[in-house]
Amino acid sequence: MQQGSESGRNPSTGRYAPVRRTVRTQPLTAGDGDGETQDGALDVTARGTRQRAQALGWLSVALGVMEIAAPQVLAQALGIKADRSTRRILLACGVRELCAGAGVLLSDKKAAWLWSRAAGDVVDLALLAAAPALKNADKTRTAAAITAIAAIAACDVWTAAIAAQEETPDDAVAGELAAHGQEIRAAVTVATSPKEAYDRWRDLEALPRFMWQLKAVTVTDAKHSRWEATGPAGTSIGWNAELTEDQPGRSIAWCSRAGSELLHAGRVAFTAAPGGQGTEVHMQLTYEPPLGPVGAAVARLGMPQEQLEADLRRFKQLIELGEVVISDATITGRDERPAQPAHLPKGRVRSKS
Amino acid sequence: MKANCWMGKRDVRVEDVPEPQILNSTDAIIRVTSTAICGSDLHLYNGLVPSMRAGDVLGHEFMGEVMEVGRGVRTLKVGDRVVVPFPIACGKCAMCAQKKFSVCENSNPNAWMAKPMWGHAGAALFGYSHMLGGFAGGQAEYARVPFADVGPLKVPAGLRDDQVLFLSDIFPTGYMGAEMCNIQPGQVVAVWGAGPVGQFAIASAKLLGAERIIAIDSLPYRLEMAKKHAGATDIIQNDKEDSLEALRELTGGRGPDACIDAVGMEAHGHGPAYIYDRAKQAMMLQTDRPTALRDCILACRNGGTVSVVGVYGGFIDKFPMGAVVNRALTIRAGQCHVHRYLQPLLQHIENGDIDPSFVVTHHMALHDAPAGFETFMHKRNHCEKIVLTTAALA
Repeated sequence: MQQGSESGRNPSTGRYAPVRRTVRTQPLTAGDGDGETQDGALDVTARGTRQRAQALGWLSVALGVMEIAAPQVLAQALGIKADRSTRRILLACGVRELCAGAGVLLSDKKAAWLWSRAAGDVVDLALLAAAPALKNADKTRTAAAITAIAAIAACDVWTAAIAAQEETPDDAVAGELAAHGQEIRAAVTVATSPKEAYDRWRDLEALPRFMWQLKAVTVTDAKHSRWEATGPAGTSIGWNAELTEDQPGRSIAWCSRAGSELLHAGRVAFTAAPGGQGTEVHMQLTYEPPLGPVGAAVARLGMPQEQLEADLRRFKQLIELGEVVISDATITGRDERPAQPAHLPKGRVRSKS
Repeated sequence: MKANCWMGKRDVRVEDVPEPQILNSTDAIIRVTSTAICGSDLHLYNGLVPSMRAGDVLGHEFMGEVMEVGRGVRTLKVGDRVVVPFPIACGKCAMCAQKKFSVCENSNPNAWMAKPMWGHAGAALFGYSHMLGGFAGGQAEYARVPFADVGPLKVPAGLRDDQVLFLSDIFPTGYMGAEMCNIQPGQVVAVWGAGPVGQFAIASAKLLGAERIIAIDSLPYRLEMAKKHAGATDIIQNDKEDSLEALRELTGGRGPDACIDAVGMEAHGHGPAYIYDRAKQAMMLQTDRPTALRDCILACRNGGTVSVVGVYGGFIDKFPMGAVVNRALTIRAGQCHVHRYLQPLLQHIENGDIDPSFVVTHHMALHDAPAGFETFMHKRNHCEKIVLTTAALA
């Protein structure tokens, strides 16, 4: 036993000392704890894809210049001998890189140019894969170069996929979703009137109180809003939403618009439950994961169906109890720690009531 | 503070953990004075309940003194002595309104986890896996109790902890098991399992007017307790005699009017069927061993009731559905809606109709919890019920 070392106890008496444990008057105040203002967070994410694309564009330019101007240096770095044919290949690759770089940096259609970069990566990888067969090749350096290019290729593909979603014109979103969208649905019955349920939902900026993947929703005008959410692996994704349906007391629907990192459409409908049990809240989300089936598999790791159901249960708790129920295991918003009391840093309690 | 934590299969340890704090406005913090090890804790101990995580604080039978209340708490005051029901219920949802507290719709933040196995989730329980909420339990010096105005029952100073502690679970659970049998005068009730819940099922069947109560178990000391203290009129030691034969004999061939399964998912049995069940459970081909439940169904009188209060977690095999349908049996089951039984059962205790402390065979200090689990698991020293006290730590 380690008496006296426990917090909250008076070491001399060994008794519990309630005065040291004041009840926080607002135990459930919102606290993202990341120190970002809403506006700051929005700017960072809105710029995210563009910044990544710009960086990749400049990388192309730098590599292209080097391939053309200093092929010997580069060949040595890659672990291959800079003979005549190698220099020719590097010159061709350099021209390609400069074209891709200029395209990414100057064009508005960045996705297409990023895909061209990704295709170039494939060519580079194929050439390097053949390199060890050459005489005097330094296999260690070549392997390192292959690893680096593979990583850059992954970054190209991901950025291109997100950019493609962002560049989808408004009038093409519905068609894209119809063709490639994944649909999830969930429903919950809440002891309230359809009007009250609708009103609580229509307050879009308050949605993060129960939709815990959302970091912030900012209403920009009567029909438009900007949403920020936590994406796979803690990344941040954002989208612009436009209300496409708004029937007070009955339903709300929205659709993402140009500049969205996630193409999706959502609809929530409120209907009276039988027997005066309150309101059935039916929610439907259709989204197009970046990268098609691969992206869908990644998205499923985030368990969107389970998240949607948990969101709706939190909505029910907010209406029926006035706050979201927190257990020791879900203190940070997801079940990621033991069912054991915790002293978490201020602001980490993920409750939004 | 000290708390008994689940660290893995057959591994519980008393660890230093942070003290609980108010997280929701209707929380209370309780200084635990007494807490018990439940038979259902052994299912956790044996690693048969999914969604446990190393470090989970165990314990769902506890009582103590209110140290702190959230700003939304109205009826509970600092200093109140309370016993806490093991299911966590919000008191406001449709199920709570129907007094079906153990299936509260709001208390379980991890409801999604239960869906694949159960279709829907029940209420959260203290210290009983993440799919049941991920709430720290009461085998600790302090515990956070959500919905403090809904669950905790204030208990009079004149009653000892041992007399009221079991209102948290096993007394109401046994009582509900008997109540679900809808006992009529002159009826015969058979109770499988003379563990603590079985003892209270027997005692409750007596309170509810059963004429004969038959206790079935393999441990003679438990059967003796059932007969001496709980009120069983007959006993069957089911490893010495065929319980179905013996029941037919004892009931003139009719079978008991009602059968209560107070055993659950880790039944002991004998013969090829038992070996089959153990093997399937070990290979994860079934999660639960339904030996007692099968016997309940086969033994029950035509048109009778089978009442299940032993804990089952998942799936069972060789369920005699033919008997249920062709003999018009009624099956009733549930985690106990403890909240609805607190007042009436406290009244029985105050009236002296029953003294629940008769089941207690061991008192231990909280820091001896791991030894307690060992003792209870292997039924050493005629162990029936272990109460852990924090007094030694204060």
